[in-house]
Amino acid sequence: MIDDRTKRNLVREFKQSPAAWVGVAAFLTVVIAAIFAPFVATQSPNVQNLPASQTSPTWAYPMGTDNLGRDIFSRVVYGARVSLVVGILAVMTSAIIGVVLGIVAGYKGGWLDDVIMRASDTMLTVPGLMVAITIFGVIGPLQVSLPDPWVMFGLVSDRPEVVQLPGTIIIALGITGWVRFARISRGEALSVRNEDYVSSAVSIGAGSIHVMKKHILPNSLTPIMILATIRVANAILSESSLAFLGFSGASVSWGLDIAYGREYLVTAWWVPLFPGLAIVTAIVGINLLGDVARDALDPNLSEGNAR
Amino acid sequence: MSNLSSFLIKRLIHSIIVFWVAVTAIFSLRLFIPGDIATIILPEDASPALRDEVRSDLGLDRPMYEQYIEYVLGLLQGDLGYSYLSRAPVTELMLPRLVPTIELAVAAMIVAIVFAIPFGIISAQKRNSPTDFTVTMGSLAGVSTPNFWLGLMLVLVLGVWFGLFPTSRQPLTFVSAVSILIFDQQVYGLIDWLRHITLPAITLGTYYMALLTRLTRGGMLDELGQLYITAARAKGLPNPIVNYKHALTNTLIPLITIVALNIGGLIAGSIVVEEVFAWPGVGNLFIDSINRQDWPVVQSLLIFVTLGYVGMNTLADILYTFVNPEVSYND
Amino acid sequence: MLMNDNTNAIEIDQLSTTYFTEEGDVNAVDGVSFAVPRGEVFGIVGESGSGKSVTVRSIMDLIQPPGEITGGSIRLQTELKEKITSEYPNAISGDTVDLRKLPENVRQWVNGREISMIFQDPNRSFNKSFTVGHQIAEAVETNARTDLTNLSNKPLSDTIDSYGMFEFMLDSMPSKSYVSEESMERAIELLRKVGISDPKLRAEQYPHEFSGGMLQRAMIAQAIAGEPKVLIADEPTSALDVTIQTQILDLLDEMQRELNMSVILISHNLGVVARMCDKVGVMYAGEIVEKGNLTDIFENSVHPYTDGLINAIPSLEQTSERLDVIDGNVPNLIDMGSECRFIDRCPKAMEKCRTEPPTYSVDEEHKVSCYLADETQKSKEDNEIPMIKEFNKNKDGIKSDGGK
Repeated sequence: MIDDRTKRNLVREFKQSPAAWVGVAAFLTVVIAAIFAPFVATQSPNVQNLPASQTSPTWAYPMGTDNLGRDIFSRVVYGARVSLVVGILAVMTSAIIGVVLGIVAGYKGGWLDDVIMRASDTMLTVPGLMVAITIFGVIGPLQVSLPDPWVMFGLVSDRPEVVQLPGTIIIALGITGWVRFARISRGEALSVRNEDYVSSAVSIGAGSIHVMKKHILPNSLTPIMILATIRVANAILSESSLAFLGFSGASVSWGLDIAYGREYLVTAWWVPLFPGLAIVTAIVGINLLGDVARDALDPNLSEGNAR
Repeated sequence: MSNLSSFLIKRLIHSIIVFWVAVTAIFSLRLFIPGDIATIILPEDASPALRDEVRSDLGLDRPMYEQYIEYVLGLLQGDLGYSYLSRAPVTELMLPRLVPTIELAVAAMIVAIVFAIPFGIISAQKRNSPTDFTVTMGSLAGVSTPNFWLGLMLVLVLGVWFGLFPTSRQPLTFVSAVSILIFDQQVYGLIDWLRHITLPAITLGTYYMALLTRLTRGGMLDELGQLYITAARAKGLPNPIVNYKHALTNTLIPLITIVALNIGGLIAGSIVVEEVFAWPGVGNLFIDSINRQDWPVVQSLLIFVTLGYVGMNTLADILYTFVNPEVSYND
Repeated sequence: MLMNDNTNAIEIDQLSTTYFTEEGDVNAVDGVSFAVPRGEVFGIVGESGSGKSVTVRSIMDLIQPPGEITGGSIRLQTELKEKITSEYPNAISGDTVDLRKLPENVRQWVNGREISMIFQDPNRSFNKSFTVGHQIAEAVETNARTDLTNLSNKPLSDTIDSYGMFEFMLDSMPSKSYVSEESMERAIELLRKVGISDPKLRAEQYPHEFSGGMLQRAMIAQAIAGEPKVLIADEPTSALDVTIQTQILDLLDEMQRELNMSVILISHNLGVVARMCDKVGVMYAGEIVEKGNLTDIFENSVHPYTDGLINAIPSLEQTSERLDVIDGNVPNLIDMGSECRFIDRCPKAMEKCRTEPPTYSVDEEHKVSCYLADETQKSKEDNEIPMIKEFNKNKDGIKSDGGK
């Protein structure tokens, strides 16, 4: 799937630009923390140790503890899971919805196109965050508990058995994020549908669905992938904002921890500091990787693209 | 000129349709609300009969479409409904909070634009220099930082540790500060207002500053590589004129639309920032209302935001056609 | 070298420009020399990528990083000489000023006034957001503001106005605009002069409202606003219809004669060259391989490449690749060996061509960089078997430098 020229571009990017390495390092840190959370964390994020409450960073507690004596470092590590999973799931959902709608709209045209475009215009009138909050008002915080595989297979002990995910956030972000995917896919479909290979496929009797799946979709993958990376970063930011405002459902989350730490901003400033730094690290990593990918795939794209 | 008018009309109609669809969707939230008004305002042990009576009093037992029409008609007359929870018309609840939010949003945008454009220009002119590197990395950090966290850190460092800014609610509005200036010839009102709005404005504006810087830089780099810039230099125009008058003009034009399109993000951002700074604005009202399940307020706020967004966008589109000489009106 | 006393308007001597790219250093222009007497037209021909455009852009000081002029001199006969005798004496060379030795702000003064340039694509050469008249007026205005007769004892750098963000915002107000009423009037006159009808109306129009030919006329109007001594025309007609081409060439002819300008004309179209030029330089891979007057080149050419061009061999029509060295082919211009650069495409290549040939004088005006010019050598080497290579080898074809 990666052609030679892209490979060469990638190699060159990494050779020349320290930013690429920083991006990889940052992103990998987050991914490793997320996947191997029970191992990376020094203790369970839920364990309270009141005598040790509000201690500043030391060797035992690299990022200090909060008012209940919980280790901030472990909480940050576990928080990576929520952010990453929410980001990926939400974007996958909106990507599937958006790409399907977009390709259909672009390829078929006609009233389908109109309807889908009007729908997307309408969706854009209210900012995603507001819609997400409204959805919370209707559904409430849905908690989705998934068992932690490492604990299940007995590979580690003293760690929480379930991973609690903010279901409503995933749903909300998934429902609101499809518009950009639809726009891009529609654009691709529009430009590709007049190509010769499409016409010849149709002339030998290929059905619409087949054409859309086999011809239009593969060619649109590049811009869709690029958009997806941007949207994951976006989703992580949205999740943290929603958690901060109290609309979550998880028990450990970067946004939540910042909200907890707010009361202790003056006395235990490390409590809100480190989760925030974690968010910045994750987003910076994703953005840098996205830049690298974009430059490798098509160096001629202009710099500073609008989101 | 009839092309222009038909384009304008088409655009307006499009906007109205989109707005109307949004209003309908917002109205239909009523279908999904857990519990209805009767349950909310009556005490828990009220009898079902009492509830039914309240419902019919409020007109909630009429068919949906009737309620819908009534709602829309009300909207057209500027009636946003009544909040039983807060026992006041929604307009009364909303209006006083509009001003602080608008102040905050405008202040944030000004902060963003005033810094972003010079940074973007300098960064583009000194491409790959240490200055450029700093600006680029700074912008990256700016779009990657959650605004609420930034706000807290700013409060901690600048407010608490350095004591430069107050950390309590803002007491004065810009208008009252200005009137103190004019009528009492006293500056303290304005200064107080400034001190209170600085941190929130920076918090809200940082993301846009970063975004605009990237866009300005990217746009300038694009333009500076174009043939007309080389031709301008070839005819002897001094460098500042080439950079500012020519390259910058063409960079800023598309930025207008982008800024307009991002108003939505500004609104979303202000929801969070108002929460952090306990700013008495519309964003705070929204969160409160959701938490208290005060749906008439929630719906009205959503509609208000929709109106603002659609209005901004239409304006931006129309402005753009006037500003860009190449765009023809044959849509 | 080419010191033909005072009749040369401009002398280029061993000009070299290199692009320092990530893949290596590209010698886009390597030791190019020629002179253009006053009132004459000098043509530069060659394929895409031969270095024609980079050469003239170097003359105009339009080279941007990663490119840089690395050597040579550009000597111009200019009244600037009198002005700078006290301040920058080392830039003066005999009767001329070496443009390369001028500081940047002084060098800026030369463009648009002493030397001017018109480009291939008129549509992209104008700013789409300003009217044509305004842009021509800018050229007029710049000239007016820095007119030497008004300067008396002020240093030249003082005359260049500052223009920053503040002025940018003021500029949109008519009273504070950079461009004055008089300059606009003059711009309208210039439009009329180049044959545009209804110039007053046209001046208020935007570039996209002009046809290609008209816009090229407007560009010529802009270029002669300062009554330059040298006009550079980079493929001025290549983007135009054939019928329009003739009109534009006529116009250029007329303006050249009227202002007694020296013209450097780039073209890949030999017909245009034959019609317009007095002398011609043939460029290949960054060097001038042969130069002389029209007869020398068209009838008595020595260099096989010139032969090839004249005989319109298909290799002329190949479009070479851009310097997208990311592709992995090491371009010639980076890995320049010591061989003659034409060796792989030359039908008359010999063993000795592994060493780059010197410049021979076939005639007073006619110079060639090719061993074939050396007659005594030729008779000695009668026994040598020439190596004949095929023509359409793309492998080591010219890699352009991103410009011409």
